[in-house]
Amino acid sequence: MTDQIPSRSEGKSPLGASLLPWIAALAGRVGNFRKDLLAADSWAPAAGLGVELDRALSALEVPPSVPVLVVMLGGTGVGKSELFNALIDRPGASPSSDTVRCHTSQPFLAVHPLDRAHLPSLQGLEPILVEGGVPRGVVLADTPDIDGMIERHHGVTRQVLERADLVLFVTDPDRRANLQVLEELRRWAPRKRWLFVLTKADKYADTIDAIARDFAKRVEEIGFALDRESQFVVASVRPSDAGIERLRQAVLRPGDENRMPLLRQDAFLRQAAHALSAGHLHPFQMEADRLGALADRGRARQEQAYWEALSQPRAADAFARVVKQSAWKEISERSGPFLFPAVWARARMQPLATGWALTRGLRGGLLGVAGALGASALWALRGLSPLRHIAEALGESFRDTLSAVEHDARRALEDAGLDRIGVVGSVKGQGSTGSLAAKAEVPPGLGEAVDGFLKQWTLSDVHPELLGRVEQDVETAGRESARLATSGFGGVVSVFLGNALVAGMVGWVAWRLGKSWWLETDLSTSFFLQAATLVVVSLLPGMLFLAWRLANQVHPRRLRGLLGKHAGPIAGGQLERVRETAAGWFRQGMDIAKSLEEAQRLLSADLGADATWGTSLPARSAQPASHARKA
Amino acid sequence: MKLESFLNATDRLAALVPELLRLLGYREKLPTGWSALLERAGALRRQGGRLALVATLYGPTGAGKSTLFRNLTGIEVPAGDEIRPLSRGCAMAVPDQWDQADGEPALRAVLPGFDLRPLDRPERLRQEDGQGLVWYRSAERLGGESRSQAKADTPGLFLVDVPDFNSLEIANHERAERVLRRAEVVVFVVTGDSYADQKVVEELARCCQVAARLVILITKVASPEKAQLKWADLLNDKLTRTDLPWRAKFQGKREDGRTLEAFLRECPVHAWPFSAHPTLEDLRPVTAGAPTLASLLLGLDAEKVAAEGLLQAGASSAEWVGQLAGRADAARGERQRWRASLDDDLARAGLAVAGHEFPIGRTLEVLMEEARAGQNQVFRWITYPFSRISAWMQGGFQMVTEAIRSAIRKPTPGGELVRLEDAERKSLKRVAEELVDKWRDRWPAWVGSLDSGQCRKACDTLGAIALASPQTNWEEALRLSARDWVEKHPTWAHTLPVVLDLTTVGGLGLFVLDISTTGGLLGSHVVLGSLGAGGLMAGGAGLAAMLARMADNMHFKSVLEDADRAWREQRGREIAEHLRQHLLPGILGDKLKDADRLTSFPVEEMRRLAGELTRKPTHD
Repeated sequence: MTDQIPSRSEGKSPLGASLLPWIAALAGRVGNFRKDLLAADSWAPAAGLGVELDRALSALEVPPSVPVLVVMLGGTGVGKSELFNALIDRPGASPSSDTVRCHTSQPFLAVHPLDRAHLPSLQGLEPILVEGGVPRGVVLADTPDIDGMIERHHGVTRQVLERADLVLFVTDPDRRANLQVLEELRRWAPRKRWLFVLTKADKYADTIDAIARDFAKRVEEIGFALDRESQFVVASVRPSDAGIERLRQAVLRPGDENRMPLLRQDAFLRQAAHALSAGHLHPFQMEADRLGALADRGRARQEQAYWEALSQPRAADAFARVVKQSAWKEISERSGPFLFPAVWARARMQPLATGWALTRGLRGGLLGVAGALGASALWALRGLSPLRHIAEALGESFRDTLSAVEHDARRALEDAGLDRIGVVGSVKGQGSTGSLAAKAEVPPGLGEAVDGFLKQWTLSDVHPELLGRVEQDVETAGRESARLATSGFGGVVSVFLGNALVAGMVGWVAWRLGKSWWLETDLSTSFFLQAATLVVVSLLPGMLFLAWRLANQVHPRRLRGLLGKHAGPIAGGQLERVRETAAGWFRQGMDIAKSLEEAQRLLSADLGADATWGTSLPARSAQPASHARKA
Repeated sequence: MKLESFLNATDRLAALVPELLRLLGYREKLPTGWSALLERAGALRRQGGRLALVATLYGPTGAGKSTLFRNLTGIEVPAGDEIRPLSRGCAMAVPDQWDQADGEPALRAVLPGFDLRPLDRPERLRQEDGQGLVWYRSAERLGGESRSQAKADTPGLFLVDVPDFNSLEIANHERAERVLRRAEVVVFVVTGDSYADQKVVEELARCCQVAARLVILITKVASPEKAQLKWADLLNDKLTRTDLPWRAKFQGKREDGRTLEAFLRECPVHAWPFSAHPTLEDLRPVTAGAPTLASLLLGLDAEKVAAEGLLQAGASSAEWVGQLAGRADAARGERQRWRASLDDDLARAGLAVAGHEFPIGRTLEVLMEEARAGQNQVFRWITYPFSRISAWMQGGFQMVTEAIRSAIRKPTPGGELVRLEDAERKSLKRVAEELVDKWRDRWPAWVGSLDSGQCRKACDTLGAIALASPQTNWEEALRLSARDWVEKHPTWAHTLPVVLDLTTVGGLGLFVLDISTTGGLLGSHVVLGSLGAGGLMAGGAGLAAMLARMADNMHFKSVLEDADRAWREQRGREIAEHLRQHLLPGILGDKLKDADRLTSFPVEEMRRLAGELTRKPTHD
């Protein structure tokens, strides 16, 4: 007998070799996905998925020198030990009794002498080793029962099962429907490859075929597609029994150097695919939907409050003024070449006017005028405070709604155990808060000092996201009202006429200048004064037209129409971010699962239908719920 | 003890226990002994004087219960030979003479609460059925022995074949257990290979707890001797091992004081060796000379066994009811601690709101009044002009403020002038949200989850209710200490009103200046509102710090401190009460009521009733 493991014929590519790089890449993806999930390990579905993925990844960590471990699983007194002794043809190797149940209390391992050094680690267990009876590269394990009255036995068996590459599920006709044992099978089903053995067939010689079919049905209910290759009926436990011989042929076949790594890659693919099955990923989608619905509800609530608050006279007035200020800037680009300088100047002056109007300090005499001028100057300088003014004008009930939405979002995330997701991400600041955050990064200058001073005296801390939203809305409304004021028949005509009038005046002046140059006559000073006055006066109709049209557009009642559909959330944006994360994980998981199943399918095809490999639960057929029949 | 009082104790407990279970948030399965007590007591009431015994064949899947039933009664029932597990209903063999003499109503008295239907075809048993459905059929003989051997005045034995308790067919377990609760006599059928299954031994313990009589039948063994060895392994090894939990489990006491283990040891054991076509002749007691299974069943004294069954269920329930009472005591303490911690939280929250706001304006007004009352005539004369202006300013203050406001701003509903009530309401809202968050963090499990929707509802409800304005009690305390101060420091008492008048005039001037120049940008309206009329001078002129220094010099710091303390205590209580009335109900709903009910729950009565259950019921 040679010490070398017999290998497949030289030069032929080993089974599954072409899949190796692919599987390695998949393992990388699964590992990264698992790391992402750590951010949500206070959320049960993510934590559970993480544990399953860890388990799947650990299958790849077993060194190739460790032999294939074939483990027997079954209830008390179904004949596991006798089957073990018969398979390795060592009577009494694992002692059994016909009057004492729960007899086996330690795992028995039948091992080839050369494999002794490479036994899979079974921490804390002291398995009894039986040398011989198995070829090199295979270890056969007899285990204690899984349903007896000594609970320690169950733990021992589960510990051995954890390491199993192939499991022999052993039962007898009387006990084939036992819930406890079949539930154990169901729990392990997706993680292992299986062979099914029905013992004591000789007791029911007349009906054994029907019983075997009935048992096969129970196994199929779990999701297995059972073929004759993986089902064994053992009539008696004599080593020479035909059923035993068939089982021995399948399980204790001399080692194949490919068998080991392939089984473990298969185990990884199957377990990872099971972990990422639709049933396991479903909670992610559900949660994303639920959070989405909550976010929508919160957004609708704050939108409503926003518009209600904005329709308050004070807020609406402030808003309209600031929008007008922004609209003049926009109009300057659309006002045509001749009106442009006037409109531009008007836009520059507008902040001063806005500040003036908002303070309305005229009645206080000289001091009042000075105060209003000062405030206007500050606002013209900063451009920010009018926004703050609007935000404050929105009123207390609106601020209450905002903070309520924010509280609700945080609590909803806490309820789900998702409050830690995205906390890191949100620090960066995104979306509407970005502009303010960017402003804060400018080294403090006069503007900052003024801003700080103003802020110190404001009634309450204005919500930064709200300020962003107001800023954005003002811009949008300004742009939109400028567009409306200068477009359409009236807009085009007024821009055209306004420009034409100025153009005519300028043309007339140019003609006079040209003519005097040609005729070499001098123009009087009064002509220049007259020309300048006429040009300036010709600007007025266009300007007045535009101002009139703009005033019509920026009416407080029309603001909502200007803004069209609502913008992003003002508060509670965390909910939205977490929703995206959960939905992203769902998509990512589904994606990886698809690749895993494809790889598993190809690998299974490579392995072929061969009892040596046992049967496995087909992808996507795993049933996470108990299959026990309910009333 | 009379049977009547035993049954009354059961009835009273049947009313009390469910409520207590709800109050305790009891989620475990109800013990079989308790359900058995209710079933058996009900049956006894319905049957009147004639007592019928119910016996069940109880065992794991594949033990041969149905085969035994067929052999004993001749009634065809399906067995799971080729299909396992088999979803099936319960079959009952009714004594022939009973069926004819009394009909269905009397039958219903034997099994009250069950749905009884005649079994005309064996397939009926495989119909989908609801809980508590029992198919019955009359059987003249039981195991070859005529039922007429039984005593003439007793209705005899009702043998029920139930499905298994450990197969995939979960519905079967419920059906089997339902009959087990009613049955006084249990024939525990188990194969020689499954006697040491975890689930089998658990059920065996349950049978020891609730059955009046238990007979063991070990099936599918090679010989009665093998069966005896297996049974000995269970009794002498597995159940006595100190490293296993079973030993303790079987040390529980039965109604007569025996342990479950002792009871089990005395149960008759029969064996039914394996055979492809088993017959009753093979079924033998493992000890030679003992009576056969059928004669054992037919020879029972119905009255005695029924009483034992009731008492056994009573004893088993009494223990559990005692445990419940213990849990109720523990929960009471817990609920009281919880209520105390709620009160504590509310008191803190009230103080936080009250401490956040202090009506300094009103305080100074009171102080001024007291100080002025103590001024002498000369002083009053000298300072008359200032105090007139000051008084006019204060009196007309509201008018002036409104006038200024309307001059500088368009009047808006819900304007921004911050008044004390508004400030309080605002911090009340904040404090309520904080409270809710705090409770969410450390909420006892029995209250259930406090989800964000509930929190929102409660906070919104609170926000919609106006906070009552403070009562004036604290002002009385302030007035007393102010008088005291005026007596002790007459000089300061003379000068204080003057200083205050001066600052009022100056402060108001500056206030008007601020309003008219910056529209209140410098914050006069902030201070103005929260200080009220008398606080104007402190806020408007920004002299708060100076005033505090002065207060220190004038030794009336302690007066202010007293006032502050009195204010906090009173207002804090008021706000805590407000929270208790308007925030708590929204979140807790019935939980508070439940806690109160638990506190007043008649636990002692339950203990007493449980004690009555352990005494033997006898007929008159």
